[in-house]
Amino acid sequence: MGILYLVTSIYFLIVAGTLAGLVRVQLAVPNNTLLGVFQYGQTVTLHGLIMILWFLSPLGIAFANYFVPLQIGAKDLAFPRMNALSYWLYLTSGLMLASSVFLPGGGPDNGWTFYAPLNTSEFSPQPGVTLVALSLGILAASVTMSSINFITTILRTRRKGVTWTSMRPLAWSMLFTNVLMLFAFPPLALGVVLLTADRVLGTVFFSSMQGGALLWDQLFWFFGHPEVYIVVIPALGIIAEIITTFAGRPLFGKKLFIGELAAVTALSIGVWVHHMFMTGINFDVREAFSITTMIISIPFEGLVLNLILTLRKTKLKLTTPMLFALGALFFVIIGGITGVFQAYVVLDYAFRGTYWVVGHFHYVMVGTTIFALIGAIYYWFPKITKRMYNEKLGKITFFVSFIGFNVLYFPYFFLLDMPRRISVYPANPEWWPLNLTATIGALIFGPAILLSIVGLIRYFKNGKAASTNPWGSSSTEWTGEYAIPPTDLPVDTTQILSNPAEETENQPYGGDKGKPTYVPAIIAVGGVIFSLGIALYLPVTILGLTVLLAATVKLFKDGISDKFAELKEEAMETWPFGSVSKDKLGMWIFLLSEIIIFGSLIIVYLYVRVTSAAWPNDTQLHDLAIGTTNTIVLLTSSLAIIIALQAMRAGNFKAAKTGLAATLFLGLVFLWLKLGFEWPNLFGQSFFPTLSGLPASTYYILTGAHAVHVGVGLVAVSYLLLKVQRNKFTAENHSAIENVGLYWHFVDIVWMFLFPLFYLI
Amino acid sequence: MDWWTLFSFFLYIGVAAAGVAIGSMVYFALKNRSKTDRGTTESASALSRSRAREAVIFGSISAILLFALAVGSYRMTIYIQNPPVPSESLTIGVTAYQWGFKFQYPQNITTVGECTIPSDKPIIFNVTSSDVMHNFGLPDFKLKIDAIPGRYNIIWITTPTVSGNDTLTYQIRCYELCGTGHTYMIGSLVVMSPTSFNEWVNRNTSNKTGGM
Repeated sequence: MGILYLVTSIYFLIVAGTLAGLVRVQLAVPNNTLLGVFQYGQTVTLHGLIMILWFLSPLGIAFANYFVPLQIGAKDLAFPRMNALSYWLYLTSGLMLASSVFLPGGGPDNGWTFYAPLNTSEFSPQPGVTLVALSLGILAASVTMSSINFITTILRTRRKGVTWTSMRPLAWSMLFTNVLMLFAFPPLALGVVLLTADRVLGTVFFSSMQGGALLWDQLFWFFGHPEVYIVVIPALGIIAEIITTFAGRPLFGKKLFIGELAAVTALSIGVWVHHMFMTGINFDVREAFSITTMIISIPFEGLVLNLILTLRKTKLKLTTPMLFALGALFFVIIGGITGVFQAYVVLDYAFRGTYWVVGHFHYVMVGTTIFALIGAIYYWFPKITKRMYNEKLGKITFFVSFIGFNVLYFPYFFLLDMPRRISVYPANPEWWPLNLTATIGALIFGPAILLSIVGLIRYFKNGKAASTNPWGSSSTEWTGEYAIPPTDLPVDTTQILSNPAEETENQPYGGDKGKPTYVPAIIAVGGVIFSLGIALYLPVTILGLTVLLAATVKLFKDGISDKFAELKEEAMETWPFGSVSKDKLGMWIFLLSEIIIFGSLIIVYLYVRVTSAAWPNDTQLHDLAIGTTNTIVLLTSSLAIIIALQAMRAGNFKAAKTGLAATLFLGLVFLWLKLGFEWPNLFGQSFFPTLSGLPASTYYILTGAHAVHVGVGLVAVSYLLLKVQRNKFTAENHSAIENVGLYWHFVDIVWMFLFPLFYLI
Repeated sequence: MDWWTLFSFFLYIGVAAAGVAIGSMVYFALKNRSKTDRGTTESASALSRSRAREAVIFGSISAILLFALAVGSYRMTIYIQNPPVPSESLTIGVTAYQWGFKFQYPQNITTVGECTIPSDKPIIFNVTSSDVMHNFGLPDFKLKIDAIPGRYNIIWITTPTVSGNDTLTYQIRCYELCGTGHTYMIGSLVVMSPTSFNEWVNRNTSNKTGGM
C-alpha cells in the first residue's frame, strides 16, 4: 500500500510539476502569448490542487503506510480493506480531476482556493468545475478514512514495548497529522457538497448576496489552514528521523519536540482567519487571529531549534538523506519567518494577493516538504528496496536542486506588487528580470528533482545489495526491537536484523487471511461513475449507484461469512483506550468526523439564518405534526436497536431479530414520512431552493443529508438482520451490532438538533 | 509611520533571526561532520535530560520578539482602524466588476477605470463588487481591500501635494482571481491639485445633465 501511494504520488508530482513548468515559461517574459488566459487559469488551478492534495499529502501517507506499522510493531493498519479503499478513492479522484480539462468548457480556472461566487454556475458554468468539486469530495472521504485508520492503529495496535514515550517521531507526527485531517477535511467536504448542490440542484449557499462569498471563505480556510500543517508536520517528523539517525544521538528534547508538535496541531485549528485579513470583517476578530498566528510561530520555531541543536555534541554523517533534511530545515526557517511577516494585519495589506505570499508558501511546501520527502525516499530506500542508491548522484541532485530552488523562489519576495494568478505582465523593469530569473531557477530545479527520481528508479533495479540496517539506526522500523526503547545511538550496521512486524508481506489489500478483495476498487469506480453523472448527465448516477449496490452486496457476503474476521489480538500497548475494542474505537473516531461535518453544517445554517435580512418562522414553513411524529419514530428506533443489542448479549436471538427488524421498519417509516409525504407537500407549495432561496436551500440540504445518513444506517441494519438470521453472531461475538447501534444513535442525536431548528423556531 | 519603515523593522529582525538559525545549523553541520565517525561521546541519559529550562528560555525570547514586532506595528494598527472624518474627506464608491472598476462620486458622477481625486485630502474608498470577489488594490500605497458582493468595505488614503496643472498617476490593480479578465483588471488613480479637481468635477457634472 505504501508503495502504491509512493508511485501514484510521484506520478502526480510529474503532472503538476509539468504544469508548474508551463507557468514559469509563460511568465518568463512580459506579454507572453504561449498560454491564453483561460488555459493559464486552468494550469495554475490544477497545479495547486494536484500538488497540495494529490502529491504532498499522499507521499506523506505513503511513508506512513509503510513505516508507521513497522515503527509500532503492527502487521498492518487497523482496517486494511478501508485502507485499500482510501487508496483507490485517491487514485480515481485524481484521475477524475485531471480529466476535467478535457470536458466541454474545460476545467476550473478559479485557483485552488475556488472562491465563491466565482465557483458557482453563474460565473463558471463549465461542468469541469463540478467534477473537480466532486473529486475534492471523494478525496476528502479517502483522507477521512485514512485518518480513522491511522488514529485507531496508533492508539490501539502498538506492540508491547512501544509506549508513548518510546514511539518514534515519524509515528508521532503521523498521529498528529491524521488528527488534524479528521478535523480539517469535513468542512472541505461540506463546502464542496454545498457547492455541488448550488451548481446542480439550484441551492443558493454561495451565490447569495447575503454573504455567500464569505461563507465559502470561512469554510474553505477552516479546512485550508490545517491542510498546510497536514502537509508540513510529516516533513518535520521525517527530518527528525533522518537527523537522529545520521547524527547518531537522541533528538534534543524529544518530549519537548512532541509537545511542540501537539501545540502546533492544536493551534492550527485557530488561525484560519489570517487568510481573510482583507475581507473587511470585524477588526477585533482579525486582530485576535493575528495574535493566534503569532502564538503558533513559537512552538514551530521551537521545533526548528530542537532539530538544529541535535547537530551539537556529536559526529554526524552528511549523506544524501541528511543533506535533504538539512535543506528542508533551511527552507522552513525562511518560509516560517516570511510567514510571521504576514501574521501582522497591517503588513498583510501589502502582501495579500501578491507574490510574497507565493514565495512564502513555496518555501514551506516545496522547500521543506518536498526536500524532506525526497530525503525520506533516499533514507528508507535500502529498507524498501534492499538495495543502495548512488550516493554521488544523490548529492549532486541535492546541490543542484538546492541552488535551483533558491534561484526560482527567492525572487518572489521582491515581487511585492505583482498580483498572483495573472497570466501576463507588462514590460515593467521591476518585474521582468525577477520573473526571468525565477524561470531560469525552475529550469534548474525541475530537472534536478526529476534526475533525483530517475536515479532512484534506476538504482531500484541495479543498485548494490544493501544490508538490513546500513545506517545503523536504532529506530524500531530498522531493528525490529520493540521491547527495548530505541536510544538513537548508532547500532552495528553489519548485524542482520529482521522485523517481526514485517513477517507477513504488506499486502496491497486483504485482511489478516491475506486474501485480496476487489470491493474497494469497485466502490471507487462506482463513486467516479456517480460523480461523472452528477457533473455531466444525471441518469448516469443510476449506473454509479448500481455499481455501489453490487459492491455493497459483496461486502454483505464477506461480512456474513466472516471472511476477513480479525484474528485474536496479540499483547499490545493500549493505554488509554484498552477497554475499547479496535472496531469500536474506529467507529467513535468516524463519529467524531461526522460530528464535525454535521456541526459545520448546522453552523452554516445558523450563520445564514442570523445574517439574513428576513427569514420566515418555522411554523410558517414546516408541518410540526409530521416533524414531531418523525422525532418519536426515530427515538423509538433507537430504543429498538438497544433492545436488540441487549437481547443479543443475553443470547436471545429471536428478540434480537425482532429488535433489528423494528429498527429497520421505523427507519423506513421515518424516510417515507419525510420523503414520500413532507417533501412532496413542500414541492406542492413551490418551496424550492431556486424560488425560496436560503430557507429552502438549508432545509433540503440539512434534512436531505440526515436522510442519507438514515438510509445508510438502514443498509447497515439490514446487514445485521441478515447476519443474525444466518446465526453468524454469538452472545460473545456481536460487536457489529453495538457499533452500528452507536452510529444509529448518532444519527438520532443529529435529528434532535435539526428538529428544533426547523420545526420549533 | 509608513509601511516601508515598519517592513524594514521586521526585515532586520527577520534577517537576524534567520541568520542566527541558519548560521548555527550550517556551523554545527560542517563542524561536526565526519566521513567515518558517527555518534556522540556523551551518555544517553545526559543527552535525554529534560529540556524544560531551554524551552522556557527560547519560548520567552520568541514571545518577546513577536511582542516587539506587535508594538512596532501598533501605531499603524491604530491608523487602519480609524477612518478619517467623512465631512473632511471625499468618499468615493468603488464597484469592482468583471473586469474593471467603476467610481461613483458624491457629485453624482460615475467614471470607469480612472479615478480622479484632489491632492492633500483624505479620500475614503467605499468598495464593493457587483459580481464576484475582487480586490481593490493600490500598490503604490501598499493598501488593498477585498471587493465582496453584498458587502461594503472601506480603505482610505491621504493624497500627497500636487500643484498647478500637474497630475500624479497611481496604479489600481485587482489582487483576487476573478475570472479570465483578472490579468487585465487595471485602473488608474489620478491626483490633481484642488483647483484642477474642481474644474474636472464641473466638466463632468455638466456632461451628466441631459441624458444618461
